[in-house]
This record gives sequence, structure tokens and C-alpha cells, in this order.
Amino acid sequence: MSALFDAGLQPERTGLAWRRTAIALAVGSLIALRVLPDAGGSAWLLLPGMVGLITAAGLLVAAERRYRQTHRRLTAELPGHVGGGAIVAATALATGLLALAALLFVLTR
Amino acid sequence: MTTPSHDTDPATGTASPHRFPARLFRCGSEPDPRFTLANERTFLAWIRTALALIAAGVALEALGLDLHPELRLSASLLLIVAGLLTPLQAWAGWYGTERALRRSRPLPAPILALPTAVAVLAAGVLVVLGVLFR
Repeated sequence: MSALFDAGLQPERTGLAWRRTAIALAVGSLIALRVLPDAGGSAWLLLPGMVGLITAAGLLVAAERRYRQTHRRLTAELPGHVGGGAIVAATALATGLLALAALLFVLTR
Repeated sequence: MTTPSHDTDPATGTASPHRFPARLFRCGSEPDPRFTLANERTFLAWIRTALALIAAGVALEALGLDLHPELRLSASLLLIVAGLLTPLQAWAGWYGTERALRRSRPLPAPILALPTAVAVLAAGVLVVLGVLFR
């Protein structure tokens, strides 16, 4: 990798923010896998934790790719600007679906 | 004020890859990338807030805590509904801020900041009452 774009380490901090968001989702999913089956007894209660773990892994990979791409664009190794919203929209949508699943769990138990 | 610059990269003159949502990136001009990155981190902070709210709401009901049942359920629902609205704020805030940056306008205020704080406070009060009246 070439020199840093910015002394304030903005791309690096943004990469770390994606990473800790993915880790928060992974930790929450692991706790859900541990706690939810005891709370209800249905095998369906394993689903949110599993989907959450897979999503967290995907988010980590996507975050790493996005950071590398951002770095290369800002240091003009790649054409184009930073900051597309596809992964942003997908993350918001996935979080909303998780909240709906949580609502369903609380209302049906 | 509105100079579409997303089609070609001013530095290299080469075609810039398409960015979603196209409507947003068509407007205005490219801001300082550091602002775009800061906007992205704010979005992520809202998402982590949503995850915490959802986890707290589920935990209240899933852990079998010895609280007043209706108060516990109310606190749980309040947290989860807040956790449902927060991703909307995250997306709308990201979109609105990016648009304001591109148009060099004042940044929008987060609409759901105060309601989120009130919801967390109310959930806390409900849990305390649930402990007192169990």
C-alpha cells in the first residue's frame, strides 16, 4: 500500500467503524444462539443468530474490500470517487429486518 | 451550484464507476471525501445503536427476568420499536447529509435523536417500575 491519503486517518477510521459494526452484530448473534433456544424451544429460534453471523462475516469481507478500494481511489491508483450507498442501504435494510424478527419473537412467545 | 461531475473523474478523465443511489450522486458536486467518510461513520453509529436497542429488547423478554410482566413487555416493545426506527434514521440521515454536502447546504439534523433518547429513558423507567412492582 502507498502513502496515507489523510493525516486524520479518515479512511482507516471508517474501515474500523465498519469492522466494529460487524463485530457488534457477530457478538449479538452469538448471544442470540446461546439464549434464544432456551427461551422458546423452537428450532426456528436458531435462525436469527445464524443469519446474523453469516451477515457479520459478509460485512467484514465487504468492509475490507471497501477500505482497500477507498484507499486506492483517494491515492489515485483507481479512478472514481468514494462512498457509494449500496452496502449502506443493505446494512440499514438488514438491521430493520432484524428488528422485525425481534418484534415477532417478543409478540409471539 | 449543480455541476454534475460523477460521469468522469476530474483527476484522470476516466469514467467513474456507477454509485448507488444514482439520483443522489447525480446532484451537486463531489464533496471533500473526508466528509463523505465521516457521514458513513455516523450512519454506522446509528446502526450500532439500533443493534443495541434490538438486543436489549430481546434480552428483556428472553432471559426470563423476574419483573412485572406487563411492564417488562412494554419496555421490550419500546426498545424494539426504537430499534426498528433507528435504521430508517440511519439511512435517511446518510442520504440527506450526503445530498446536503453535495449541494453545499447546511446539514440536516437527526430527526430521531430526541425520540430515541426519550424511548431509552422511558424503557429505563419501565424496567425500574417493573423491579419495584414485580
